[in-house]
Amino acid sequence: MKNYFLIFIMFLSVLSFSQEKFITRNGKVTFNASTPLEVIAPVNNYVSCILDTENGKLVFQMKMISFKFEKALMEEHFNEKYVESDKFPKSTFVGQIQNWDDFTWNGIEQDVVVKGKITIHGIEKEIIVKGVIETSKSTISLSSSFDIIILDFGIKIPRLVRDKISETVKVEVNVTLKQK
Amino acid sequence: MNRIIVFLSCIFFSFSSFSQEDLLSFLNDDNENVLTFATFKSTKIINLQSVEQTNKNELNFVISHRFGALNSGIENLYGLDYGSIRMSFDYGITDDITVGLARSSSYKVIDASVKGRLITQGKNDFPFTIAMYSAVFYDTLSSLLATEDMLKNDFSFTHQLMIARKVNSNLSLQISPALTSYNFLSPYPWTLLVNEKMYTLGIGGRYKVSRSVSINSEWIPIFMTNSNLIHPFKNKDFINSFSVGCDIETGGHVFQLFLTNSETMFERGFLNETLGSWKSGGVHFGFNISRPFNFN
Repeated sequence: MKNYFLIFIMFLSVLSFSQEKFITRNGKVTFNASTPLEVIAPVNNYVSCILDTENGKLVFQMKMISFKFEKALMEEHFNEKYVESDKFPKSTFVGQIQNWDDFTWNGIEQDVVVKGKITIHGIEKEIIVKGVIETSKSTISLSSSFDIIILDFGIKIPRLVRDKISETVKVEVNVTLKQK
Repeated sequence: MNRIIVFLSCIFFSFSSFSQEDLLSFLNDDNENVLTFATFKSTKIINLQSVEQTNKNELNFVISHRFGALNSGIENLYGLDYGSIRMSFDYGITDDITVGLARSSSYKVIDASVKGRLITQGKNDFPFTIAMYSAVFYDTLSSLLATEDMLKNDFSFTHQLMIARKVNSNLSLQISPALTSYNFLSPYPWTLLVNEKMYTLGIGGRYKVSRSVSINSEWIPIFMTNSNLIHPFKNKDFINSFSVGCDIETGGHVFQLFLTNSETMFERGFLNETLGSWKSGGVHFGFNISRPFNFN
């Protein structure tokens, strides 16, 4: 009888686990490194993201090779010469939404601050980013926009194309999470 | 009964321990294989076609030059006074199919080609990228030069298979067997058509020395004509093409600078009709410059 009780508890724990995770694999991340000489604004529509509503832990992951550029040659150079997608195929963010206890499921936009570690090109950095979180009946939408300096991640721009690529890159994130 | 309970509890424990794991592991999917890209910087290694394709809806304009032979002396500035040129236009119908049209000043040859990629390295863990290339050459001078004792060869064909492997991010190797078919025809209609076939085996590679510069080399031995095997080193009838050079990539262009003993720039020519000898300095300085234009 004791054993049955144990199983019942475990079963409950599994159930609760499946209720608190919100996930997507089709999030969108764009970045903009445009200069007056060149438009560089690729889109990645295959961004994975998971949010643990129990504690506000937030994780992003994306393949760098999924960024689609307007020009195929640019895309190849991005992967081969800049982010080196064969050596560092993924970029990740592992973080925590601050003051998660204040979060309410009320359908209106709430400003949040997320703190965590972002890894691009194999280099990890601590960042703090402002974002907006919005809930609907069954989904949670997150959006944010922030700047990164690509030299911080060990990505150097050759002198020859320095005028064409911006060293500060504006990143925009939009994800809609569904219950797992 | 006890056994079943232990079994079930094992399963549940594994679930609950799973939930404790890092959230990142949730996001890893099984489909992790990535197709290899940028095996070579350009659609050519030097003379030889590489497995690289012109991208979809892109027109790749390649302008190539071969100067005269280095051993032509100071009075010709070691060959720089003289040069032959090839202009080629390649258009990517899809990312895997390219059609091309080109003209070379040597022998006044116009060629039309089609290049297709069959499989890319990394797809289902396949170790190679395989592509094929077929071209037809129209020799505009052939008919003019043909006399009673000289056969004309208006049309000739080359079919080539390219098998390449990007060993690591710096080193790529390629092997390219090719068949060239000549159709010799007397200018008089009562004589027979003579078909001659030449088989070559191109071997090439590149090594990246920095992220914008690579060293390239290729060697193309002729190993068979019709059904006669030919020793790649000990034959007096043919000279094998050998080239060495570098690729320099700027934002939109790729510059290829090299030394080669083949003066002709179309496949039939440099695969089978190389005349210069490295030993006696019959080597030409040359370059290819490619520039893609986007039609998206």
